[in-house]
Amino acid sequence: MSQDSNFWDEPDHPHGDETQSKFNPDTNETPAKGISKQDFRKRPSFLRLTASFFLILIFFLFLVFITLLFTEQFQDNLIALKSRFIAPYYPTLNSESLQDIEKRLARVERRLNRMGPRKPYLIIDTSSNTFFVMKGDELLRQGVCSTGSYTLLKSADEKQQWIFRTPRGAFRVRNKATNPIWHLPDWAFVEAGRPIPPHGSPERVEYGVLGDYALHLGSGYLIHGTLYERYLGLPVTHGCIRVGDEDLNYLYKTLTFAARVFIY
Amino acid sequence: MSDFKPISKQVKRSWASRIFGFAGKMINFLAPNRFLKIFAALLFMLPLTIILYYLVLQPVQQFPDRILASAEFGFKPNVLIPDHEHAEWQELGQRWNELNRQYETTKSLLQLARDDSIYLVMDLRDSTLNLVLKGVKLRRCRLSHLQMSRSISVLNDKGLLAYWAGEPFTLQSDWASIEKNPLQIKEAPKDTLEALKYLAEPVVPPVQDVHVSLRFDRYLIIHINQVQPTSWHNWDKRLRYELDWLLVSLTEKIEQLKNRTRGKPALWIHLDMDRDNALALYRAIPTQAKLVIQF
Repeated sequence: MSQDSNFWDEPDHPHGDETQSKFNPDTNETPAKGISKQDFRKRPSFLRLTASFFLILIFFLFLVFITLLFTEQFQDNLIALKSRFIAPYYPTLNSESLQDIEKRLARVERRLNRMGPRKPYLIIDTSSNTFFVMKGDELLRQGVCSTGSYTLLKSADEKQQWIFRTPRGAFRVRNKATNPIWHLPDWAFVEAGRPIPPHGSPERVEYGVLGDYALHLGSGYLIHGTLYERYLGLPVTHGCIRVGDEDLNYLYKTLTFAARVFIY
Repeated sequence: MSDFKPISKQVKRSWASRIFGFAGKMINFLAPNRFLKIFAALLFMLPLTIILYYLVLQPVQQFPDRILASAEFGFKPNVLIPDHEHAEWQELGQRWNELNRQYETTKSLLQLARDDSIYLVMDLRDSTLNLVLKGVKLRRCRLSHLQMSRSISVLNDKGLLAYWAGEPFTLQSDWASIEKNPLQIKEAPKDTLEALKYLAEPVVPPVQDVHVSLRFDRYLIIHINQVQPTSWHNWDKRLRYELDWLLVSLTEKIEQLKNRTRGKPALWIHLDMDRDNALALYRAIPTQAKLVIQF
């Protein structure tokens, strides 16, 4: 068998062509002792037929999959070709239109430039637990802090739950306090495995744990100091922002009332 | 012996030719009749033709009208320009298009700066993706690689960018190899002794590979990948992300074929940036984040 012939083709036969030439199509007769090509053709069995059908189907499904995968690339290339035939779009214009749009642009740009805070403001990055004190585009100070631990605490009876996360968004310094006192909320007792005392109980008051200063951001969230400075840079708090003593001192002095605090 | 061919010649057949050769033989075997062969080939080619038409040719055919129709403020085609005035109009038109694009973008920025939500500003002039709130740049992520589909370049060249990218884009869905909010669940201890047991040293969060896909309205898709190579211990998360994306993409295409909706153009941007930047960006953006592109 030659290299070019294959399983599906008829095999070579030394007399194949010879017998074919002797075949008379008018009488449909073959030489008595001759062998026709048809005798060598393999008859497909049902099993082979089905197998072939499914193989072809799989092959085309594969092609469909590939085509689906690369439709965006095909589309992109065709659009690049089509772009040669797309005329540029120009609106109906006159010289006044240009002046008009220039004026409008300048007006919008002025308004946008006025949007930013003029006083020093604070940016807190909760993903890397760092803070930046800025004034305009100028960086005044940078340091590490601790933000919410993203823990969901469930009470023993599972009736209550708290999520310890630092809220993201724009805030303002609403209040500034020196030697702040921590009024322990319910979760502090639940987390410590202690019974929850009634509101106003002296058990709910702790002194000296928030550092020398605290800046209130609203909704109970504070920027305060910590007793555990070694944890700074890690997400360990219950939602407040903890900073080191020196940084806290700086923030207290730099950020005025209503100063902007941006948390992301 | 005359039929002998050196092995090297046999090996030279490419995989593609082998696959197609095999398919050809299969068709040959399946239907010895020529008409049946053609019929079988057409039958199998039908899905391919449908896919090519609805997913590739139709969007190309409808480009750029389909994209412009997706913009809320609509687009009015321009007037026919006489040939003798063409050069003058062209110059004037280009200048106007440029100013109009700047105006629309700045207007969008102003509009977003009035909101209380964090938004994204992609500045293609200095290759940065910025996280912005109230007009203040919170984080400036430098892009180490940026690639965008040619459709966007064509829109730019033809002065149509302002109509497509003038208004802020809105995030519709996202996929990532990391969790958006990795919440740890903690049961309350029964007593102080049990609470002391839980009181362990805090653990530094593990380094994660960040790959994010953001799908915005008006057919815009942004793929963000970290510059750092994927670490071997995170291969499963990467694979899951890729498979998720593939599944979503294929499902959408099948849905599109099923409904035979109007052509959906592919407008994508691939970005590479530092891992920390990608992580901070993904975790910071809200569910329906807005995006403005400054060209």
